[in-house]
Amino acid sequence: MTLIDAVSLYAIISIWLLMIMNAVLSIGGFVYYMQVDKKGRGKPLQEYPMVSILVPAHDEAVVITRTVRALLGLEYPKDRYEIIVINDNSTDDTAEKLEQVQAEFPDRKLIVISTGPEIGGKGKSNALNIGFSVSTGDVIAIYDADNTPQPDALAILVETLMEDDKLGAVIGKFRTRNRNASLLSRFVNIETLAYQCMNQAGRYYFFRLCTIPGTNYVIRRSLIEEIGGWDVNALSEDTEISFRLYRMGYYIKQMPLAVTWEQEPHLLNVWFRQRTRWAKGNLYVLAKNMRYIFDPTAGPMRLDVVYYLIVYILMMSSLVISDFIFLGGILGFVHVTLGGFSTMLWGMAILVFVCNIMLTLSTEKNEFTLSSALLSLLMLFTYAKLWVIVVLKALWLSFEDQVFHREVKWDKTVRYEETLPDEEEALPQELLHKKGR
Amino acid sequence: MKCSMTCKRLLVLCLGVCMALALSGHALAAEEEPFLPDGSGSLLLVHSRNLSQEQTRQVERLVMLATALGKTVDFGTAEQCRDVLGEYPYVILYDLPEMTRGFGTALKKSGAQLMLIGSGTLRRYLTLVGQSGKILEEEPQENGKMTYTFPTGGEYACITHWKGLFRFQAGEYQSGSLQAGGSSYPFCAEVAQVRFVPVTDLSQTLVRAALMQEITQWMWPYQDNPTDYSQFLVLDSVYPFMPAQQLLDIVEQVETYSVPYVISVMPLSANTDYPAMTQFCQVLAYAQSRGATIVLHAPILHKTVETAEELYEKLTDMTNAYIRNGVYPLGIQVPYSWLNREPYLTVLGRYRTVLTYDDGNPTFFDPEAHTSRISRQGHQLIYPRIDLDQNGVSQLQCYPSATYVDCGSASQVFLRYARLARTQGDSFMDLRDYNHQVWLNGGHLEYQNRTVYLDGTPMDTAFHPVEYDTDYDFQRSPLVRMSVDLKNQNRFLLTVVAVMVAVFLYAIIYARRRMRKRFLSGGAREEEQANDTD
Repeated sequence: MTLIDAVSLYAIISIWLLMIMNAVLSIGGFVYYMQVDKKGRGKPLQEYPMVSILVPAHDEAVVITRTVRALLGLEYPKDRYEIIVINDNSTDDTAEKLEQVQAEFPDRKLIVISTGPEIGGKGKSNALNIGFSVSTGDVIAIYDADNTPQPDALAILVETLMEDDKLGAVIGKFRTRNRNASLLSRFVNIETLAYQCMNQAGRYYFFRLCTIPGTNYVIRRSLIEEIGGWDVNALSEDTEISFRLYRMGYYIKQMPLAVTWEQEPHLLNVWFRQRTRWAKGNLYVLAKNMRYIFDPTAGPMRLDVVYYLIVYILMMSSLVISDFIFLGGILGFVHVTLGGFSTMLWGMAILVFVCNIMLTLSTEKNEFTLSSALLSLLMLFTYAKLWVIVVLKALWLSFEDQVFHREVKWDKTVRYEETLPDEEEALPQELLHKKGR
Repeated sequence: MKCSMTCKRLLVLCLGVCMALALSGHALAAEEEPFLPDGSGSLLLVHSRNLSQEQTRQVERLVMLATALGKTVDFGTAEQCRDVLGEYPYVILYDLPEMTRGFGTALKKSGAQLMLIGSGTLRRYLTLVGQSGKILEEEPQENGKMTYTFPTGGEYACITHWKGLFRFQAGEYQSGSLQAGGSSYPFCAEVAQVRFVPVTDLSQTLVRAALMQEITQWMWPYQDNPTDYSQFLVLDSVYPFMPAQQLLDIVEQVETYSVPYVISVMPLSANTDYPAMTQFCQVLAYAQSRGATIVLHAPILHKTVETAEELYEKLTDMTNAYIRNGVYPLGIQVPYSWLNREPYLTVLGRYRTVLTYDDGNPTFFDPEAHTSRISRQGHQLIYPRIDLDQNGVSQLQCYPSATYVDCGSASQVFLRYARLARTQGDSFMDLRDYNHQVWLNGGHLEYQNRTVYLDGTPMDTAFHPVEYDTDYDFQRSPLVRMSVDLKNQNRFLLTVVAVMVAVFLYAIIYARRRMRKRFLSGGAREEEQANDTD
């Protein structure tokens, strides 16, 4: 057996393990979705807790008005929640847009904190810490500046959080508002549904494990105080805080009925920068928490560390190896003598991939289409390859940061103005009425 | 005086440098000088200049079929061949509608027997020799039915294509027919003392087979029919480590038909000491002792072999792996690509018996080679049978041919051919009736008078069962073990995947039904609400 055979074998086993793992998670997620769907949202509370919604916003003028309007239209007792927008060192007219909304809704508790370059502009974690310092709610809700949550999203999240004292946080589902903007945004839409939401549901179903996705979630104030706020060095503050909650003995639940719609990158360069940031952040969290794998006191979060390890090390390396061998084979540099796997098996592996995605899409309205099936097939050969480049770049940047002791830099996702919302249903009905529709 | 000496030395030095340069230049020129038809072959093929890709393919086919017929064939353009036309007893002009007057004169002077392929070639030739009046009328239709009867009695037909078709004053000889425009034209005929074939497109198997028959007939110097050549039944691509029992079953069944056959074994370069190899070779040795001839299948090379030495070494090791187990591969089976380029041609020089096959890969035929080198190397060349029907025995007996049947996928076909050969009286020949020689690095394998000699020593080819190690230490690393396990898990994995897909499909159907139900009930509710409002 040659070295190439050995690495090929490693790649084959890894890819199959990952595929089976994803398939099992999807089936678990599907069962969980069906259970939740049958049970419905939690019981209405006697008294709803005070909620502070934190919205970090850095140069978000093109989307912030829509987001704040959606938050103002939430079906939650109006006197029991406040919206705190952290206008984080913006250089565009975010502040002016927010002032207009404030003027339009003078009776609502809409707080805008504008920070300058001295304390602001240092990333999402820093902005959340600033917002948290002025918040009064017992429950903290986080929404990104490009979100339009469905009217019942916050109430569902809070009702679920109040069901169990051991619940540290509850996360909702996020959907792509601009899924038809480009081919890339259609890929992102499928990826979001299949590999973020459904996988989360599967992990929760089997292991009661979830990772906070960064938006559309609620968390107990007391926990944020106990852990001392968000880690300003983490680019994936959501993943980082999830790990900390698990170490404290709490768990996180996914509630797929609480939905928010968000704007996803529709241009390759924007997507690439956003995903590189995510991957870099996750690698940071992974490195920071690796030591807990063998620590029995760390609880179920160890499984999550293993999960991230599998995704970022096993999957990435196996995809790089398989691509290298594929290209090397075509160019005649590499030759694998390993036999035994039939072509039919590879065909079936692709079928599993497509079925896996279609399973997720079958649970959503207007997503289960032939074009989605074809897109998922195309995705396997295009979008999945881009992911490898993203992780490789993130690895390289992380290495550079370590060597040159660079300060962590937040690479903001650039938004764009949508001409017409793809998902009108995402907007609160009362706001639609106001707009005269 | 001193000056004179210095001048002499300088002069000698200059002369020396000039001579060295001249010699090296001459050597270089000699190295770079390409082969051109020189009259040493038995057949010359003349084609047009600036061959298109399709024309190159046709020329290649012609060269290949002439080689299969055992002719030493040279080829080139009219310009390249004009001066040597007289050196060849037989000349084929392929699709040459624009041959020059000078070339026509050279043709007349040469006295060579001519075969013209393509109507344009005939028209031009007749014009040049002043016999254009032999063309009576032209047929506009360019497609039609071709019918051809082989000397064995088999008649075959196909639809084929040509460029121009004439009615002409034919000589005595006519063969085959082309049906077009309600008339019949000969596939091959004698016109003005030359043989003429109008069809230039040789992509049809029947056209190739008929042309081979016609070339054979044309080049046969006697009045009677040409000699029939042998056909061999070859069990192809027999892989070491295939289930020994499966091979044994085939061997025992073929034996009942008393049909001689050849086993082409795939070479093995690693793990040759495994008990499975011993077991496999036991079956081969048994077959060898009962009438089968063993030949070595060319190794499947995944990277370009740079030197002949490299390939010699590989083939020696691979052959020795069989010899050690009492199996003697007496020839080699190679793809067409080996017949057209180095270092394969040099390596083939070590084998007297060469079986060829089309593996579907590029053949590396080069029109600039101007000769079929393989035809000059003195091999016993065996080309694949041209498939005209499904009974396994070729109607075409003008060249030694092999009927290949893939062992892995079609052992039943192999047995059917053997049975048909037995029942219909068409017999395959025994390759053991021929002498064979194989040179190895540091060794020589020879088959003469039904005896195998290894380095001059006669070898015992009778079957002697041997014990094989049932407790063999494979020295497998955990990684290798895992690899072997994975190979064995194909069916298991397929089952897992099938179950997984079935679960997915069930879940998808369930979700869609639920979604539809909700949509319908939601719609009903909305309707109810609307009615209430009214």
